[in-house]
Amino acid sequence: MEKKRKEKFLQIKRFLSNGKVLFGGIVLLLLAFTSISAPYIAPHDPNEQELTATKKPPFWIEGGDTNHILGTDSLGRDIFSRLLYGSRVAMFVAVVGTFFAGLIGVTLALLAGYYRGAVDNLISRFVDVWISFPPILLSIVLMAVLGTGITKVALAIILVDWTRFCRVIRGEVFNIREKDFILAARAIALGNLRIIVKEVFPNIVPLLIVLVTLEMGIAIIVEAILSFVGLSVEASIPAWGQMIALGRLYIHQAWWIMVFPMICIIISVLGLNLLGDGLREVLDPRLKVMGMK
Amino acid sequence: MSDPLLSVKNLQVFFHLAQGTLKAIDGVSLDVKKGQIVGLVGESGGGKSMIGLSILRLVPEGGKIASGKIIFEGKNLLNLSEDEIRIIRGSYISMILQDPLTSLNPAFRIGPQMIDVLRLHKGYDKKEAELIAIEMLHNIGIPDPKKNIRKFPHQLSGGMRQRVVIAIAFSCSPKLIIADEPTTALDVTIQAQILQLLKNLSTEYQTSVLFITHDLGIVANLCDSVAVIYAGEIVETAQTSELFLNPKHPYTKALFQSILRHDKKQEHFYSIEGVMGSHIDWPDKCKFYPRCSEKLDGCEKTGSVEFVSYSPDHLVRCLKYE
Amino acid sequence: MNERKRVFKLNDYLLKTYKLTKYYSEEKRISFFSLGPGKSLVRAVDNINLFVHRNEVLGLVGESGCGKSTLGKTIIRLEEPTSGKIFFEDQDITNLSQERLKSHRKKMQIIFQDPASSLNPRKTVFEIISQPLKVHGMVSNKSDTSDRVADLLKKVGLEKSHMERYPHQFSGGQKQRICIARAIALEPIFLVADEVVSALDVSIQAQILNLLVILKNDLNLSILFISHDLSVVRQISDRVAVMYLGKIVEVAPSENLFSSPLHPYTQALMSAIPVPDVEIGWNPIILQGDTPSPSQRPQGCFFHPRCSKMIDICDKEDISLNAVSQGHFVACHLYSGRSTLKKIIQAQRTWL
Repeated sequence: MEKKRKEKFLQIKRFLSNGKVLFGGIVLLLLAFTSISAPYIAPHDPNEQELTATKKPPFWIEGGDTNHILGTDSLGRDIFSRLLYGSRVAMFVAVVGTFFAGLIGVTLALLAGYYRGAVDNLISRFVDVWISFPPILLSIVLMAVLGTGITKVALAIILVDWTRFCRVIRGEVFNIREKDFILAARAIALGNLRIIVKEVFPNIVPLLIVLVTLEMGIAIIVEAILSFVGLSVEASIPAWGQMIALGRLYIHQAWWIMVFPMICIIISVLGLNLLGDGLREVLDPRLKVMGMK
Repeated sequence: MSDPLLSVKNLQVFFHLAQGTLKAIDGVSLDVKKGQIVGLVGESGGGKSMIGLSILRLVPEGGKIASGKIIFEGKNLLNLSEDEIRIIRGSYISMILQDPLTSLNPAFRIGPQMIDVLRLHKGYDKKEAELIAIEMLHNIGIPDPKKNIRKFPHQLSGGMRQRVVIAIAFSCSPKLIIADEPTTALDVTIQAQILQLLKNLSTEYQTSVLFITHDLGIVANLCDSVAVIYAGEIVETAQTSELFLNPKHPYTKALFQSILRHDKKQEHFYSIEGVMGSHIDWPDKCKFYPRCSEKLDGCEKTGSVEFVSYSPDHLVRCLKYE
Repeated sequence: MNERKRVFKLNDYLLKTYKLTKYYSEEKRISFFSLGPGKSLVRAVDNINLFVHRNEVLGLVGESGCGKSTLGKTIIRLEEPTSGKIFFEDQDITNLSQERLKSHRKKMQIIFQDPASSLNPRKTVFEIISQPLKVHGMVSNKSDTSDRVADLLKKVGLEKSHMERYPHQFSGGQKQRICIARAIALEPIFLVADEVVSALDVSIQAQILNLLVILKNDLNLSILFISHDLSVVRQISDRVAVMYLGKIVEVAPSENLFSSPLHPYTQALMSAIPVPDVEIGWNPIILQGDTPSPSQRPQGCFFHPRCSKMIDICDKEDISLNAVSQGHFVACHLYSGRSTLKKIIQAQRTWL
């Protein structure tokens, strides 16, 4: 047991020694923190309009003050607070969208990759057809049909992006299915379902973790695009894309209205992508073996 | 006695890893005379392939040739410039690898691959090169060479592919061929064909061959002399018949004992205790002694063991014979 | 097998196949000129009659692509046979449902060539070896499981402390030991060993072979030992069957086969092996060309295009196994018809 704990510790240390993982991990934790605790840490109500103090610059620029550290927008709302609340939308969509997209994609991929033949043909052709729609167009059409609302955004992402999981994971399942330990499991009379869950699934987890982090970044961007064109959440809920759309009108007078949400999106997506990339490096079994020997 | 064609002297290849220094090749000396087939035998992980790669200065990333000399026709290959060594590779020394599928480019028909080599190293024009390529394919026993020259590598069988690789290797009439387990991926009946071909070609072209293998059966029947390698060190080298009839090093002896033969029924199967393992940061002493059944008290304490001449052409690296 | 000559009573057979056949349909590569779903039939296992006695090691040799692995997997129903019958302990198991098969699964196990591929890299040794015990309800509680696993590890020459480790922390030989431990966990009586030592160095091969022999005697196992390596097969097998292009061309008691191989293919196969001995010359019978693909087998005897002893009838008529002496069967036109005995004696004399 003692040894196991030590191994766990070493594993964590190895994870953190990868700069990409460290940076991405911090970004992810920060996002999680702000989205959960936005109501407690936000200095202002994000929808509170201070019409006497519109387009106030950030505090370090003349005319700004520490009451609104990142300034206010054209309606006098506190940008910092709106960013904090905006992360809730981003995270909700990222987590819920990715989870269900992954769930659907992975389930179908496991079935297709394990059973092959007709099952695989059916699922793969379905995915092919689905993928042939341009993703952004598809989500815009979906939103137009479904109507606005945060759950609808998540739904659109699920419907568009499950194919990404399905495709990639199916290939991996195909490889694993070829391994002799699957045959060995059949030789001890393990049922198909248990083979899928106990033998195949653990082997796709590393790939899945990487995909999930990448997908979360994608979900954040898709949400931003949708809210930019006004198809995402209701106007009363602050979202980063929405803030950019508003700031665009005042870019020459008050750049900060647009720039800060942009920075948020860039850092979040970059962080998640780097996390995915770094995890790919850390979790690659070949590299792992080399590190252990 | 004339100078050997290739003479590797005290070659060392090190890998500096996070865990320490791995001496992948540790003081290897080896001579290949003109027209000779020299066998290099040992188990996997012993560094056989690394020697082949080092001779062509193709050490994988992370490794470095730390010291030693590789004298080929009087020139030290380690002192040549990148351009000069490129001329040596292919024109003077060719390599045949285990898997013919990876040594042929899957995107091109075999014809152009052969013709390119001939044009590059021999300066033929296209027409001439094609005729020569077809003739070579015919010589190495590929049926209907005019048709087969237009095939892609994947359309040929494993044996045929290896023939093509051999044809390419010999096409520039090199002085030396390094054959790294060229028949391991093939079936025995095909292996017999390939070995026969290799032997005939080497006699015909007066080409020396460094034959890297784990199969002592091949060594016995193909090679003129043998070097046995263990964990990056050559432990014993001799003429083939001398080594087989009179093995001296405990590792060589153990290796012979552990071979199974189809022409004899054995009651007990002999195996060498333990595993080779990795020798990262191994101190200067015999690498085999932890598994050795004949080890002496001195083995653990003494520093590096030098080659001892047991008889004029028979060298052993073992404390027992010092 | 030719039934007339058999010397064992029916219940001596542990396993028997009758005209066992396994065909695959392989989609042809789509080339520029032949678009469309062309399919060719790969006859991996073709009409094989084979039996394995109790406590016997039957060697099955042949070159790559001859169908020996497929035969091994089909026999224990890891592949579904196309036709034919499999009898295990006198029961027809050919068409048993996977559910009904479960009780038989305990009795027949398989070990594969590549130990790295046959161990799930994400599981500990304990999880790997305890799984069959749990699936078949052979253990009651945790400490019992742990004891059993430790016992199995000891049987295959590993230590109890290895339990918590992952497969990649072991050497090739040790991994193969883990595979063997998993295979014998269910106390099988029949084991398919599919090229189990081919991926290992010679000095390690011996260790695994020794282990198999010990286990065979201790557990009263019957083993179908599949290998391309005649040197290994000779050492461990009681009888040997030689396979070529999906068919068995010769089967005989091990000593018979190696001292006097009759089928020209067996002879070529044997002579092709370079013997590690400088005092014996090496004059391999060089076979012409390559093994044909199992989807395009020649007419008549499949071996005739490469056979140096071909006679008129060979490219016209197929031939099945015929008994030439006690327990020695060969599928070759040379040894059928009149004056067979003379030919056999002649063949035996010219061999070695």
